[in-house]
Amino acid sequence: MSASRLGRRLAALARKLALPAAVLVLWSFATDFWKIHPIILPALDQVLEDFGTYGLNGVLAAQSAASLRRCLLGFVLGSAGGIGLGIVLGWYNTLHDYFDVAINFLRSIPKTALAPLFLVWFGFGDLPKVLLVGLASFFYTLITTIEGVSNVDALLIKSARSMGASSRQILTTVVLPAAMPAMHAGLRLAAATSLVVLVTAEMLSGNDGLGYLLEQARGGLNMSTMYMALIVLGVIGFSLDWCVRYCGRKLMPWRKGKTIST
Amino acid sequence: MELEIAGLSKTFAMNGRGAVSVLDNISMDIAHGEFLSIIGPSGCGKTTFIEIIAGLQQQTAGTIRVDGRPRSESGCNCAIVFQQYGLFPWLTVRRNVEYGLKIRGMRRRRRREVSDTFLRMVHLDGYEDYYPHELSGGMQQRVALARSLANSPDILLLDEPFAALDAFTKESCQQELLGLWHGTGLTVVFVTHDVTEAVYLSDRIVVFAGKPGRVLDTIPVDIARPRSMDVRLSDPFRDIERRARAVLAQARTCGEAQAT
Repeated sequence: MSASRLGRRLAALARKLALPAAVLVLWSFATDFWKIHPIILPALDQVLEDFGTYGLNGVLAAQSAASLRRCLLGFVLGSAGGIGLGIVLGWYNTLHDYFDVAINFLRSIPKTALAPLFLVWFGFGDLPKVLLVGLASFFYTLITTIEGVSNVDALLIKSARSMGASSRQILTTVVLPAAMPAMHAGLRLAAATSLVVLVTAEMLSGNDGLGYLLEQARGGLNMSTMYMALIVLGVIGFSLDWCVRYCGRKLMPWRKGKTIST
Repeated sequence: MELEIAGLSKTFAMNGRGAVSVLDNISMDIAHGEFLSIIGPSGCGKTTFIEIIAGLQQQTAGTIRVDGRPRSESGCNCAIVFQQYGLFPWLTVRRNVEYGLKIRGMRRRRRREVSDTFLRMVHLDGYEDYYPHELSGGMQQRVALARSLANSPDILLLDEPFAALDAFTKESCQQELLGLWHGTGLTVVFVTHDVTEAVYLSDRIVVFAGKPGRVLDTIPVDIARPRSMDVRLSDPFRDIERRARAVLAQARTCGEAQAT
């Protein structure tokens, strides 16, 4: 990497970090000078202290791991199912007709609204939480995959057919790559929603996870712990989205690039 | 290969609004190695016509025979080039050119030789690893041409391939196409709405009239090959061009008469 390129990247990084840094400074001012009540906004060093305490005694790691495990398991299984079924239904239009109403009805029910039912059905363990996250991921990826697969540019299919591609080859070599951007968009929505659904379920029942930690903190009006849990959730959500975007860039290198002129 | 088209008709059913006749009783013979252009007003069924020859659409009536045998049994290898290129955006230039070879199971090393040959032919060596969107329109259309030719077709069909290009790029693409075709014995059917282009490229021009599409006239182009760009300024060229324009004007009016 040349020096000027390094310089440009550092400058870009500085621009990206400027706002978060400003927020932290403002936070310190708000608690130290303007005396905002700690129930509304705990002092920044109080939150950092909690990070220290919970970090050292292993609670933070354990609760984060519990949440992350459920989130990833649900997200991966649900998305795999959604993309798989989406490809089948997008490809076979008649089959799609059979499922159309059912899918649109079921996806319209907020997944968080299903939490009470699932907790009754499946108890307090991982199962109802993973299922809820999975269901949310499933529908987000299903809808976008169906759209992507059934709306491939007809010219590309014609091109492949004129070169003698069979239906099966058209599916694997044209339709699936052409639908990848749509699937990827579904995955990003699914990743973001996974965390929402999971935290809600954890707040409602169970005895571990970041949602549980939040609910506990609320019970004890332990505001600095609450802020700590929120920050960790933010970091997890951000990282999840970054991973999905990174995979997208690696799997679809053609999506980025400049046009050269002759 | 030689193409005999007899009584070709195509009717589209319009969801409950009756049927539209797009092609009506078209007959023509295209000789082996001939370069034939089809011109006509828009909506006269030119695209439908060559997509039927390509096997992408089915005719309602009529027959297409290739070297005396029905198209479906002839095993004829038709390649088609579209106005909007139809390149796969997720494949590099090289992989686009190799697409047809790969789905037929050609080995990687052999594929590479073929794509090298054809990319060199269209002067795109050095651009193998670019993605289509990184290239200009003229370059993309040359990739599409290389991709078609890599499948060693017997008949090459082109549907207004240069219509989206600027005048200068268009001329260089035309010359390139003639250079590639000359002496190969490849039968070419070229659809265009550019009269000068049709005269410059073709052995014969068929003028379609619209609604429904039918053959209005056939104009032979007796100009010696190879043709340079300067041939466009010669009197014989201008005479043929003038005649083609007259027939095309007539095709427009009778299309309008039908429509009203």
